[in-house]
This record gives sequence, C-alpha cells and structure tokens, in this order.
Amino acid sequence: MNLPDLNGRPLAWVAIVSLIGFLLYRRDRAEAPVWSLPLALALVAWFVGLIAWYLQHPAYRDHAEGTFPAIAWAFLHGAPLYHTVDAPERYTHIYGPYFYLAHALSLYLFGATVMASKLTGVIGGLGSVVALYLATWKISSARFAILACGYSVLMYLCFRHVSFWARPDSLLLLTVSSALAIGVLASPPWAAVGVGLLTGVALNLKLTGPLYIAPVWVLLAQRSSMSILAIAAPAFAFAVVAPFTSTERISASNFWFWFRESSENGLVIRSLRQNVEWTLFLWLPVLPIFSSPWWRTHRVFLIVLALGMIGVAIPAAKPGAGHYHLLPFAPLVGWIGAAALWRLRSTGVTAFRRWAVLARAILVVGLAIALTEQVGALQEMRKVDASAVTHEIQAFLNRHPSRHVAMGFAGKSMYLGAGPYSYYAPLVVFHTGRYPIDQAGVQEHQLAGIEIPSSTNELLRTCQYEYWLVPKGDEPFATLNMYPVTGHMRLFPLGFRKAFFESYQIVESLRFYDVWQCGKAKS
Amino acid sequence: MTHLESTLDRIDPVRLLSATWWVVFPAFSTVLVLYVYDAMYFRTGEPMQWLAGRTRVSLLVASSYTAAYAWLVVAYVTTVVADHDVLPSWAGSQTALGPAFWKAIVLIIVVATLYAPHQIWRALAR
Repeated sequence: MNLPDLNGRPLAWVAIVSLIGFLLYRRDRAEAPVWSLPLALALVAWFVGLIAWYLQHPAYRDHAEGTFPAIAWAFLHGAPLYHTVDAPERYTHIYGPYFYLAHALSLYLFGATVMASKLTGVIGGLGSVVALYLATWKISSARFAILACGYSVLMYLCFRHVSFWARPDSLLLLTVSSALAIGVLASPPWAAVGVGLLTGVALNLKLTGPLYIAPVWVLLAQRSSMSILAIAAPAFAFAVVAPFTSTERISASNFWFWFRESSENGLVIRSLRQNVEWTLFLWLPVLPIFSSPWWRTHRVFLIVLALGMIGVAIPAAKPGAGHYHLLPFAPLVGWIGAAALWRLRSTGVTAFRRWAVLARAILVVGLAIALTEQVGALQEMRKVDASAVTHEIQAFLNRHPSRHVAMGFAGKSMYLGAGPYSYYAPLVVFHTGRYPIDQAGVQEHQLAGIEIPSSTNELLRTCQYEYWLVPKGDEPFATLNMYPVTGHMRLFPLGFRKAFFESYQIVESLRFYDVWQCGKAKS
Repeated sequence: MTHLESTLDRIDPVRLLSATWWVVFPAFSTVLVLYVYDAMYFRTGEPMQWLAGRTRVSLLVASSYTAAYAWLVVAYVTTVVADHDVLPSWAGSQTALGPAFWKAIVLIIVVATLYAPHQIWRALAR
C-alpha cells in the first residue's frame, strides 16, 4: 500500500488546515481545551507502547540499525572504531565515539542480542520524554509538562522510529532533554558542569550536537551570569577529549580523516527545501511568545534556537541526511511552547483564539503525518520473517562455531529484494566479534570518492573468513550505490567481486541464505 | 547576558531588514534563476544535482537560500511583536515594517516562485 507523503510538506498542510480553522473556529477561550491533557497522555502511551513492541520484535527495520551495534561489538573484541583508509575491514562511519561506547555498554551489560542492540536507542527516546517532563514541570505545572511531552512525542512519531532507533538521533534527544532538565533543575554551578559535559557528549555523538544544546547555555547564563560558562567550558572540553585519550583504538586522526572526506559531498537542494520547511514547522509553537508582552525574556534563547536550527538544516541537506536531523530540537520547542502557554493564560483572548487555531492545525497535521509514518514503519518491519531468519542464522552459527563467518550482501538495493536480509549481519558479528564489511559504510566511502582497497580483496583471497552467508535470490555483492551523484555505480568493484567469485563457491543453500565457502571455487 | 540584551535593544529591526534585503534578495534570486534554469532544461529528476560534490558552491547556495527564509521570519516576528497577534493585519504589518513592507512582499513572491510545479518551467522551456 502506498501512503501519501505528508511528511514532505508539513508547513503547507498547516497553512491549509489553519485557513479552514480560522474560518470555522469562533470560540474565545483563554484556556487549553479539556481534551488536550487526555490527548497528550494518549500520545505518550502510543509512543511507549510502540517502543515496547519494537523492543521485543526480532526485526530490524533499517540497514543502519544493526550496523552500529555490530561495530560496537567488534570494538569490544579489539577492533578500532575508525579504521585507516587502506584497512581491509570497511565499516567506519562518521558518528562520534560516545555513540558506539553507549552501544558497547548495552551489549556488554545485557548480552549481544537483537533486543540489547535496540536498547540504547529505546533508552534515548524514553529518557528524553522523562527529562522533558521534569524540565517543564519545574517552570509550569504537571499538566503543562504533559502537554509539552505530548507535543514532543507527536513530533517523534512523525519520524518513523528515529526517536528510538540505533542511530545517534535517539541519544541526542536524551542528551538535549537531559541538558535542559539539568539546566533548569540543578543549582547553577552543578547545572554548568552537567550542561558542559552533555554538550561534549553531544559533539561526540554527532559533530552538529552542540547546536542542539546551545539554547540551554543561554538559560544557564540567564539564571546566573556569563561567568557560569567558565565552569561549563572545561567540563565540555573534558567530555570531548576523554574518549580519544582512553584507548588507542579510538583514533582522533582517523575519525577526522573520515569526517573531512565525508564533509566534501555537497548538498541536495530538495532536502534543503524540506529541511527549511520542517524548521519553520517546528518553530510554530513558539510564535505566541512574540505576541505576548514578555517576549523579551526569551528572545536570546529563541534567537540561538533559530540559529541552531539553521546550522543543522544546512548539513542535514547532505546526500543521505534529511530533515530527521532537526528532531532533537523538538524537546526544546515543546518546553518553551509550554512555558508560553503557561503564561498566555493571562493574556488577551483574541490572540489566544488565533493561537488555538494554529495549535489545532499543528495537531491535525502532526497526527496525520505520524499515522502515515507509523503505518509505513510497520509495513517495513514486516518485510522479512525476522523470527525465521534469526533462527536460520543461529542454527548455522551453532553448526559452525568458529570466528571465520561473515555476512555478505545481495540485491541491487539495500531496501529491495534480498537486501533487507543483510540487516541481520549483527547476529553473525555477535557470534564472531569481527565485522569485515559494512555495506552502508562502503556506500558512504564511495560517495566520498574512496573505493574498497586491494587489502580487502586479499582478505577474500586468503580465506580469512571461511564462510560467507549471502542472502538468496539475487546476485552477491551486486548492490548499487543509492546516491544519484555516484551514477548508481556498483558498491563492490570488479576486483572485489573477482576475488570473491574466484575464492568462494556455494556449498549449501538454506531457506534465506546461500553458504559460500572459501577454497572450494573451481580454478 | 545584560550586555547582549542591551545590544539587541539598540538594534532597529526595520532598519536591519531594509539594509539586509539588498543582499538577501539578489542572492536568493540568483539561486531561483539557477533552479528554474535547471528545471527548464535538465530533466535529472533531482533539481540542481550538480550541487552534490561541490561543497563551497553548496554552502553559498544554502546560505543564500536559508537567509531569505530567515529574513522573512525576522520580518514576521517584528510584525507579530508590534501587532501583538500571531496573525497580524495588513495595515498592522505595513505600520510595523514601514519601508521594509514591500520588500517583504517582493521576497515572499520570489520565494513562492520556487514552489511552482516543474511542469510549468518545462512548458515554458518548450
């Protein structure tokens, strides 16, 4: 079933719904409607229920969900987080070390399972709601705190499962909300230390991380004075440097190399347009502040928030990025929006009526987007019979307990045909502790102009992995790069494919995977 | 923070908008011309696909593009602050923005042009 792409034009939809609302809605009430609280609670319940269902489900929805826990597990078994440009293994991504360390901790504590690999993201999503509740409750009331959480969760639901998936976005949500809660609740010196540390963590999740937390620094300075930032700055520096000095397997120079290469990819104008529209859509709840007499109190916070959003909207237009990068601003908007509503109760009813119409339009459009997105996500989770796939991989690994097994890739796309069967590569990595090739990583490297080196071909020719499990039904290692600017070229070059087919041959055909064994190929 | 607040107090938003329009408008118009030309003569499916891989030009285009929206947001917020309403009246907007009012209208029209369906540009190209 093809769903309408409501997600692409939120602002246009708000304009249309608002227009209808202004024509139809005539009531003047200086209070949020009675149904707003149950609705906010229902949204939070929907979010929590969805997370619980996702956590116990054996499927991965996206190729990236398993990638990062797999890298974290390999790191725990001695692999570097950021390999060199000519290394035979190909898995480096440009996310910061705390992201991988969080996954590594979860896998270490709860065991290397699909559920544990989802746990970090889940804690990020749920924790952000709790932190936002506390931060809003402190400045208003329990009711307005729930309204803020309801808004924030509605925005989360507009982005499939980005708010609790295994990418840095979920942890950024937690970091931003926690910084906000600490910035509001703790005494100024401790708040400065906490916010400084969390800003450093955010930087080491994603390099744009501090832009999300910058408005909280404004709150800090407003609560005491600019000199409080002198306490926050060393805490920030400590959090930035710590992971790179803790072990030589987290190389700052390699990380910087891959980041620099990736930053040269230009941008996609269509994405920029969508990012700008989402920036404006996310900004809508703060509008009543400007129609109130006390807007000056929050103007620096709002200016820094807006600059941060612009600062994220531009890099989020890079190939492969998208408007979901703006999601960590949602808790800040929910918080300041609730503060606005809290104080708006005492202002003029005409202004409130117009704001109420706008709020209803945001709600209607948000609900429509959330529903279509969640139905889409559900369909994607059901693409593969995850239980049967997991069972088959585990059975194979039980029969071949050595560390010399890897998962290969098949199909022209990561998302179609046999592509989604490679999402379960982490199950093999959890068994072996080794991760030779990450398809998504290879794709990003190729976009930056870096091809698979000859050392990887040698890894195949020297049988360092005796078995490759390759999804059935499509040609092995025939995936095309999904980025149009690459001309959709083959991810795996001729030399690599030649090395594979000259070294390996199918020795067994399972239900979902073919087993390729080294040294069995005809010369 | 007090220093920053007093600096903000000294800024006249209308004068700021009027002055910056002369930079923002030509920059965005250039992006629009490039976009429309691309939509008219190149059927790549992805407008301005040549931006991918050209980092410096991309940043220039992105800055010009976002600056226009930022300018409009500042103009809108200035009006809302003056009119005390999220939906300011036409007369209220004219009073609040003064000489920047018509500049805002022109920029809105230019920004809206970017949202025109590609079919229109292709038909014009024929």
